[in-house]
Amino acid sequence: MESWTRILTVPGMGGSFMLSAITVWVLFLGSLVAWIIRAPRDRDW
Amino acid sequence: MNKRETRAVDPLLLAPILRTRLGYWLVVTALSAVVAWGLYAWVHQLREGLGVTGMNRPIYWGLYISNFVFFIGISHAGTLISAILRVAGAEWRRPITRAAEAITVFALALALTQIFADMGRPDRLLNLILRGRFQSPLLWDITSVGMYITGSITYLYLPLIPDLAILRDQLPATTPAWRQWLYRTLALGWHGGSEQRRRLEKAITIMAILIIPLAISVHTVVSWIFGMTLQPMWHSTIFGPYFVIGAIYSGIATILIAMAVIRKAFHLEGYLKPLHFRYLGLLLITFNALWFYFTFAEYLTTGYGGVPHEMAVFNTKLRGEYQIVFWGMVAAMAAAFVVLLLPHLPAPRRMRLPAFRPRYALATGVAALAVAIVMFSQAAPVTAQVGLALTPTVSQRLLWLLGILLALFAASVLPALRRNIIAGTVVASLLVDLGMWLERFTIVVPTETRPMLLYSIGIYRPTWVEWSITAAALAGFVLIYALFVKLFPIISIWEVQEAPEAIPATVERLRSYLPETVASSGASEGGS
Repeated sequence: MESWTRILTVPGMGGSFMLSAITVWVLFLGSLVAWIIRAPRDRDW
Repeated sequence: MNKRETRAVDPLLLAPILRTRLGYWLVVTALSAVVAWGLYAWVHQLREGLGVTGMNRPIYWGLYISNFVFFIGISHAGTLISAILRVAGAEWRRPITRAAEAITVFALALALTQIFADMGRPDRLLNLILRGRFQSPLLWDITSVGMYITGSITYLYLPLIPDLAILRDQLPATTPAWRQWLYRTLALGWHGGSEQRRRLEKAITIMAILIIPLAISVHTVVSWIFGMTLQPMWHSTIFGPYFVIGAIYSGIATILIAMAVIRKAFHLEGYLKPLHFRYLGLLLITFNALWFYFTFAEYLTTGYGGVPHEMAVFNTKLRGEYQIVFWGMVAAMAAAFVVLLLPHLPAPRRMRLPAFRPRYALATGVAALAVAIVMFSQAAPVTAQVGLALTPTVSQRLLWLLGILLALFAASVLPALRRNIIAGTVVASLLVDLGMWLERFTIVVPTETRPMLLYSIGIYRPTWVEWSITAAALAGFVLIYALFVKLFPIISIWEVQEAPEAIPATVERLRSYLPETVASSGASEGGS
């Protein structure tokens, strides 16, 4: 197979994709929590 | 939480965390014992190899994978139901979202244990990363499940933060230091300022929207593990939606069971009302109908087509060695439908047949159970060895007897279930969960006994190791849930506290549905 689809069959590429996808997702989730926690307090209090 | 807005928390909501009764410890001990036994079985399997299970060539997937699919299905309960109700702005969701979201996380965790049990060599899971290819549905599955479990934990955690702050601030000083540390750490310094609350609510909405396609992808991909093969009765285009429907179906049933137990055990009748059971029950009927529709479509298409390979599996399910499992599944779902529908039908004329009394229910129920045990014991190899095997004629007569006893039992309990909506929905939910487990087994195993390749016919008899690990998974799920209830508020305190604030907005929304003239006349009548 000489086309770009060859990448689909390379052992380990799928594993790298999986790890990358989950890592990006977890970073997103973490930043969501951080965004909430870093919210400023009310000034009048 | 902002000190200005600190409100008194209903002691009922904190009671499960502050006080522990003897019954709780007894339950936890019993569950732990089952889990410990399952761990022993697993260690035995690790030492001796998968030969100690009933799995063999060509049946590579048995109880473990059935359990895996079942638990993944259960996990749809929480997050999906909670997310849909949040996005739809259903106000009645408030007391039930936490209980539902917790189910998701724990069911997913237990589903993963079944993969480890099935692998025999769990260390080989690493091969998925080291050698995984894009074309493998297993890789899609782990990617999807990995994202779903992390997403679900976050989705459970976000609405928990304000409650953790309440626990941090309001628990008595006598609370054990480790618990104070736990709540302080997990509350992440929550102060409950208006901007923080705005961000929290926005984040919960974002998560609710993201988690819906993620949840659907998970069970779709689980179905593709089967669907992408060319095996008879697995290679089906409707498997994706069929699995998703089944998942939500069993998920709702599990929420209902959990709600009923929590309600009874912690006296939360004021929060988990018959209304919640009624609404979720209606959702359960809908999914029951959808499930029957998909099952009928799937089996009719296969049976009508008559392709030899497919028919070999079809026949083993409908009239072969798996007929008890298949028809048991259909019977459980049909019974659940009747139980769910009864309270919504017009009341019949009062009937006073003797069979409608509790003692008849008990007598017929016990008799039916005894007959069922005798019949199922025929499947155990030891029965034949000790000369207790029944002749086919006797077995046939016993089956009829079982049917009659079950019909009498149903006739004696249905009137009671009709009157009590909570008992009715819980019984229906138990039937649905039983039926869904049988369905997962019916999908996984029979196909492997009649594979497309030139193997001889496969025979699968699960061993004590597999049954032990199955029981441990079930007990482990309940155990983790019980521990969660002890550590965290199972009803979202802040969301329930904020409910009255939503009343004006809800009334305004209802008005907006109507023409101006009708809405304004309703307002003046309401104000007078």
